[in-house]
Amino acid sequence: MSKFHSTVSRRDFMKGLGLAGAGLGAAAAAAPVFHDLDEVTSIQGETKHPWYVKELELEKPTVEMDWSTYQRVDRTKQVSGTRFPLTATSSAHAKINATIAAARVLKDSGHNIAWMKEKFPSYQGPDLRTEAMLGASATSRMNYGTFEGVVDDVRRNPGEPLSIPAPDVKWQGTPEENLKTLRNAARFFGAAEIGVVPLTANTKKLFNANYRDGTPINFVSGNEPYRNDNEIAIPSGHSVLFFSTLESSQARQAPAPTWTGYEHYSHVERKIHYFLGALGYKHSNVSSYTQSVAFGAFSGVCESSRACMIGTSYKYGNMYRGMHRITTDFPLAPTSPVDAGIHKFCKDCRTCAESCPYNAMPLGDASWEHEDTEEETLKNYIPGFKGWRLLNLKCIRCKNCHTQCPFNSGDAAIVHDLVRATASTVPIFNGFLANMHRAFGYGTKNPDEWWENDAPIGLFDAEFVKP
Amino acid sequence: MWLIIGLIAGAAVLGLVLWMRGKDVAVKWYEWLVGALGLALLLFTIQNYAGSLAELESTAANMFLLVSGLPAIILLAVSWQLVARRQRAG
Repeated sequence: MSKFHSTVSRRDFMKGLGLAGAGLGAAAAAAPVFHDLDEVTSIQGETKHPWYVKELELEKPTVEMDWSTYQRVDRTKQVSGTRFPLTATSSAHAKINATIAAARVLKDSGHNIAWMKEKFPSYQGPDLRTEAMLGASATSRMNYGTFEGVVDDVRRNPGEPLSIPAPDVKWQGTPEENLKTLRNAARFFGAAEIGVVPLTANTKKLFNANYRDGTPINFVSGNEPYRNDNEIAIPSGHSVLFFSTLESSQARQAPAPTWTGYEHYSHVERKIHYFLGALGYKHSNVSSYTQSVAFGAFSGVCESSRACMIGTSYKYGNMYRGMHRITTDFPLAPTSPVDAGIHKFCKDCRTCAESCPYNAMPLGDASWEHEDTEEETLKNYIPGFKGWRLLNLKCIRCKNCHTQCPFNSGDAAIVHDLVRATASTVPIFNGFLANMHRAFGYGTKNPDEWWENDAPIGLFDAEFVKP
Repeated sequence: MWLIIGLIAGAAVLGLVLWMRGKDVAVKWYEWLVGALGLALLLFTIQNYAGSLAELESTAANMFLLVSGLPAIILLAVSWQLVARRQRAG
């Protein structure tokens, strides 16, 4: 019989299992950054494949080729009297091939939807909301709709051809459900956040008194917005939908900026307008008639900050670019302003202002007036709020301030959430945190570095976009 | 990666506890505390180092090694030495 015996008692063994589990839990509580060892070794912008992917010789992919048989394709070739290839995607081909005819009958009978309903018994089939999303996501025609909220080429009833919308067909939901619907749609189109501000006696003041050509902006009763030579009319009962789009994260390499912020914003703007119109609601673009950061702050999407014309967000720092405003009668639950400690943090931080190549940013405390003597003398600002004001006479819009904010940070290192939580709850550490931000080298990067790193797919680094 | 780190950390702590039991090494509560803080700071350093590299912030990554990694090593060393020196004296 073996004389082996364990020095570990059963009790100690079970305790040990528990310790190992605790160790596992502690490590797992740290946000996982890498999914496998290959990601660990693939840092610093390398593009090599994971260990399980073999690189093959040139001209030797996994598909076997017979080069003696394979020839350049003759695109004038015919199959059954029509151009090759004969496919089930064309209803015209149903007339010449029975197999295609059968596939088309299946499709036209709604087989796609029937299949989905069988798989998900609670699925009701496409509805107005789905059709609105389909139309908006396909609106490469830039179908914007009019100020009055008319959108053409909308499929009002699933399965029917596109048509001019019937004004009495509207998507129905509670204001809270509608906000969720719109938020999902907006994010899908590429917006970062949305907020809603009801029109009240105070918030109406966030609208300009007139357009720059002097046309007065008035609030009217009823539900019909309109514009003519005499006035721009906004229905008093509408809400202001505010949404933001991000600057490309690679704008951290400013002043070698990208223009993705506004270019992307224009696509998102059109899709959201189309979506609202297709749901049956008014959607008037009032961006030219309102103040952007003001609505951003009142909607809770950002806070007014030392960055002045940029609304600073606890999620994205100064990286908001597009800040669009739409008045709509779509019933939407309002979103509250927030205090994430940013306004207080700005007092001690000053990173953006001290990094301004043109000394165009305020360095003092928040004030009711402009801290620059010349700007104050000229009254070159909007009074009525205690905040920071850009030195417009010096700012040439280089965007360096976008890249500097401590709240710009990504999501991969857990210290950023720690900083956000601390800034909001224990402001005494703000100066220290701002100093650490600078000491740790965050902020603007060498523009040449952009070409050395793996560029993100699309516009934004995945770890930068937060839920 | 974190699965592996967790297994290693758990196994290391388990091994340490069993070894100390075998040698009749007594550990005071504050020695456990300092050691635990050191381990937590070490894990914090590793996570932020790797996260900073993923965010393309190499300066920040190196600063974490200095600012939190070094204190982590120091705390772990202090915990170790407190136990070791008391053992030698006792």
